[in-house]
Amino acid sequence: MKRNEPLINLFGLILIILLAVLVYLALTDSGQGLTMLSADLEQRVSYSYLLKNVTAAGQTENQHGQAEVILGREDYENGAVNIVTAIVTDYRMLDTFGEILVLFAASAGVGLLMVERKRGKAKEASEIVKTAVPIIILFTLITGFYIISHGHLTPGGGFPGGAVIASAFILQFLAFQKSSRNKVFKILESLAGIGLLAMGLIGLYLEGSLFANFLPNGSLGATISAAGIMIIYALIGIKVAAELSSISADFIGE
Amino acid sequence: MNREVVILLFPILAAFMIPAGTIISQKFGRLLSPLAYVAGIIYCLLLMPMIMVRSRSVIIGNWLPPFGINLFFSPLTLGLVLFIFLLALFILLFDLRNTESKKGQYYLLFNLLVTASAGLILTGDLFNIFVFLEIAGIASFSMIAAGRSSAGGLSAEYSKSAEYSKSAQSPQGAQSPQGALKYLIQAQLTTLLMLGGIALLYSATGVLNIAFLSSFEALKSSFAFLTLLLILLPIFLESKLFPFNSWVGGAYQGAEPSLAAALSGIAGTAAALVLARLTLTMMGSSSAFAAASEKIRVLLLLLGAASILIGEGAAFREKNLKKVLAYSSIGQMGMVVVGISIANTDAVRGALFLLLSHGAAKVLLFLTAGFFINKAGTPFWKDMKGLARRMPLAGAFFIIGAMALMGIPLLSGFWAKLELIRGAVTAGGLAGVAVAAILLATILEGVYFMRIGHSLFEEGGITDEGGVLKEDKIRYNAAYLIPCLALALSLIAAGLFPDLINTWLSSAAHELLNSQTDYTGLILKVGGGL
Amino acid sequence: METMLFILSAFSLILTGLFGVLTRKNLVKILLSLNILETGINLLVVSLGYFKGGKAPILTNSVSAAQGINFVDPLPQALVLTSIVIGLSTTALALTLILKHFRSHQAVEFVKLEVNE
Repeated sequence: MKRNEPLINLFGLILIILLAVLVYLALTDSGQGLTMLSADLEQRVSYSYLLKNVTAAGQTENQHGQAEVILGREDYENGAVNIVTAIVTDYRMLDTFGEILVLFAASAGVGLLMVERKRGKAKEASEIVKTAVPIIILFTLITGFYIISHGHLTPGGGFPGGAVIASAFILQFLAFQKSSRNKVFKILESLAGIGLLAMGLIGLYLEGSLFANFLPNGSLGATISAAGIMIIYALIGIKVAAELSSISADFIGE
Repeated sequence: MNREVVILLFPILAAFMIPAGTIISQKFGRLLSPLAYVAGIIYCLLLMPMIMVRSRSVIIGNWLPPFGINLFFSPLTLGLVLFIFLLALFILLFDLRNTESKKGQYYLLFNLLVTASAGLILTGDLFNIFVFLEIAGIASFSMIAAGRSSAGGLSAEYSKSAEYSKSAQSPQGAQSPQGALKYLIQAQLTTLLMLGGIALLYSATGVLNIAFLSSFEALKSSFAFLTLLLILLPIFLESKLFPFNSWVGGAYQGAEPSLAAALSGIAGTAAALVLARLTLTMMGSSSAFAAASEKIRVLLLLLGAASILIGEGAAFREKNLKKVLAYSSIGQMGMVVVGISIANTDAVRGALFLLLSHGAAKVLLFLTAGFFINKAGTPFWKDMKGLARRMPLAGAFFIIGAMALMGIPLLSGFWAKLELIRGAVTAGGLAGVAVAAILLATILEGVYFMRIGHSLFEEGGITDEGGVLKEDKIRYNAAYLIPCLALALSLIAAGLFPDLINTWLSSAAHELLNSQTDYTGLILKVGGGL
Repeated sequence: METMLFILSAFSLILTGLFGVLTRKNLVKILLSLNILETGINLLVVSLGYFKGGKAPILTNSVSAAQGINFVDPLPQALVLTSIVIGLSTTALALTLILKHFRSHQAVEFVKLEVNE
C-alpha cells in the first residue's frame, strides 16, 4: 500500500491549524458568561480543602470555629499538611481507588498477553555490577519506604514510592537474571487490594461511609499523624510496587 | 449509613482475590466470578424496595458533594446495575463450559469491566466518569487482544485441523491484536481530550460534580459547546456513534463471542446511560449549558441518524456473523442516541427500553452465534447452511433475538421502537429524519436477519459434508441453555407485558428529564453550598 | 500572564500530539504522539490551577482566610496524579499489544487483514 506521505502531512497540518483556530475562538469569545479561568481560588472546591473546612461546608470556619489552619493543633480533617495527598487519599478516594484498578487491569492485561518464552543465554552481568546492585537496592528500598511514609507531609506517597520500590526489583532482575518471583507479587497484589477494601469497609461500618477516615488524625504537621492516610498509602505503595514489578517481570520474561 | 455502595464491591473483591487464587488453581477465577454476581444480584434485590420509594445520593468518605464524590441510586440506576449484573452472570455461566479454559486474568479483567460499567451508571462526578471509562477501556483492550482473531472460539477439532494450523502460520490468520490496538488508540485519544474538557470546565466553575455543574450560572455559549464536545467524545466512541465507530468491526471480530456479548450488552448500556446523564441531566434543563445544549442536541440527532444508516448498511453487506451483530449494534445504539437527543418522555422511555432490549438480545445473539461458530468451524454465516436444522433450539434462540432486534410485534423491540417513533413524531422538525432512518433501518435489519435465518435453516449444507461437524448428536449443555433460555423468555415476556417495564421506565425517564426535582435537587439538598 | 504562557505551551503540545496520531503510520510513533498529547493535557490541567504567586499546596505555616490564602489549586494536581498513572498503564498495555502485533505480522504498522476472503 503506497501512501503519499507529504500530502498526508499537509492535510494533517491544515486540520491541526483549523482546530487551533477554532479552540482559540471558543476560548476568547467575548460573549456573556463564565469561561476558562473565571473561577478564582475562593470559588473553587479547593478553597475548602486548603482551609480544611469541608465538613462545615458553606461556612468559612472549620471544626475549630476558625477560618484558619494552625500547625500543631490536633484533629483537623484527615490531618495531612500536604493538601494534594489529602485530596488523593481522602476527599476523592474513589478516584484513587479507580486509579489502582486501572493499574491492576493493566498489570493483569500484560500478564494475560505476554507469553513466557525461552530466552537465549543472556550475557552475565559483571562482578562489579553484581557487587554494587545489592547496596543500591538497599538504598532504593529505603528511599521508597521514606517516600511512602511521608506522603502526608511532603510530595510523594504511595504511587511514586511504589514505583521506586519496583525499580529496585527491576534492578535485581537485570543484574542477576533471576526468573521473576511472580507468586509473591501475585499474593501481595491480592492482599494489598483486599486490605484497601477492608479499610473502606471498616470506614463504612464505623463512620457510615465507604473510605471514611476512622483513625485519629494526630497533630497537624507531625511526622506520625494522619494515621488513615499513612495506612492507605502503605497499602497503595505495596500494591503499586507489586503491579509494576509484575508488569516489568512480564516484559523481561518475554 | 451509605451501605448501598457495597454493590460495587462484589466484583472488585472477586477481582482482587483472583491473582492469589490463580496460584491454587487456574479455574479459581472462572468459578469465583459467577458467585460474586449472584451475591451482587441478591444485594441489588434487597436494596430495590428502599430505592424504589426514594432515590438516594450516596457519599464516599463522608464528604458531601461537591467536595467528595457521590454515587446516585435511583430506580433507573439500580435497575440498570441489576441488568448488567444479570447479563454478566449469564455470560460467565456460558463461559463455564463453552470455551476452552481461559486464564485467571481474563476473569479478573471481566470483573473490572463490569465494575467500571456499574460505576459509570452510578457516579455523579465528571472526573470519576473519566476514571471508570479508563478502567473499562483497559480491561476491554486486553481481553479483546487475548481472544483468537477472526474465527474466534473455534472448536477444538477445527483448531487441530490442517487448515487452521496453516492459517495460524500465515501472517493473516495468526493471533492479531490489531482490532484491540485500533480501539486503544482511538479510545485513549478521546479520553485524554475529555480530561482536557473536564479541566476547562473546572477552571470556569470550580466544581466537578454533575449536579452542581448543571445548576451553575450560564457559561459562554462557545466555551460551553467546546467543553461539552470534548467531554462527550469518549462517550460517542463507546456508544459507537458514527465518526467514532471505525474500531467496532476489528474489535468485535477479534473478541470471543462471550466477550463481544459483554462489550455490547454491558459496556454499551453503561455508555448510553452516561450519555443520557450528561446530555439530559447535566445539560438538559440546566442554566449553565443553556446556550449550547440545542446545538449539541442537533449534533447528536444527526450523528445518531447517520450511524443508524451506516451501521445497518454495513451489517447488510457483512459476511462474518459476529461482525454482522457488531454492526447492527452500531445501528441500534444510534437509535438510542436519537431517542436521548429528542428528549421528550416518550422518546427517552423508548430509548431506555431499546437499550435494555438490545442489551439482552445482543447477548443472546452473540452467545448463540458463538455456539454456531464453534460447531461450524467458520465465522461466515453463508457457510453455516442447515446448521439450525441440526440444532433447532439454538436456531430458535437466534430467531427470537433477531426478531427482538428488528421489532417484530409481541417482542420487546417492537414496543421500544414504537415509543421511540411516537416521541420523534411528537417532537417534529428534524426528528423526522430520525423516524425515516429508524424505519429504513428496520427494513434493512429484517432483510439481513431473514437471509441469515434462511441460510441457517436451509436444507442440505454443512451436515452432509461431515468433516468439521461431528456425526454424533449435538448436546446442549446447561451452561448454554440456562442463560439463553432466560434471555429469550425475558425478551418474550417484555414483549407480551410491556407495561411492567414501562411503569419503571416512566419514572426513569422522569428522573432524566426533570433533573431539578429528581436529581439535582436531591444532591444539592444533601450537599453543602459553595 | 504566566498562566496564559503555560496554557499556550500546553495547547502546542496537545496539537503536536494530535498531528502525530493523525499522520504517523508507525505504531510506536503513534504511541509516542499519544504520550506527547497526554503530557500536554496534564500541563493544561495543572496550569488551569495556577495562580500568580501561588505556593505549592503544602501547609508549611499556619494560614488564615483573613490574611489571604496564597496557594495554587491542589485539585488539578491530584487529577494529574491520577492521569499520569492511567497514562503509564495504557502505555504498558499498548507496548504489549504492539509487541504482539509485531510477532504475528513482522510489522509495526497496521496491515490489511485478508482473512475474510
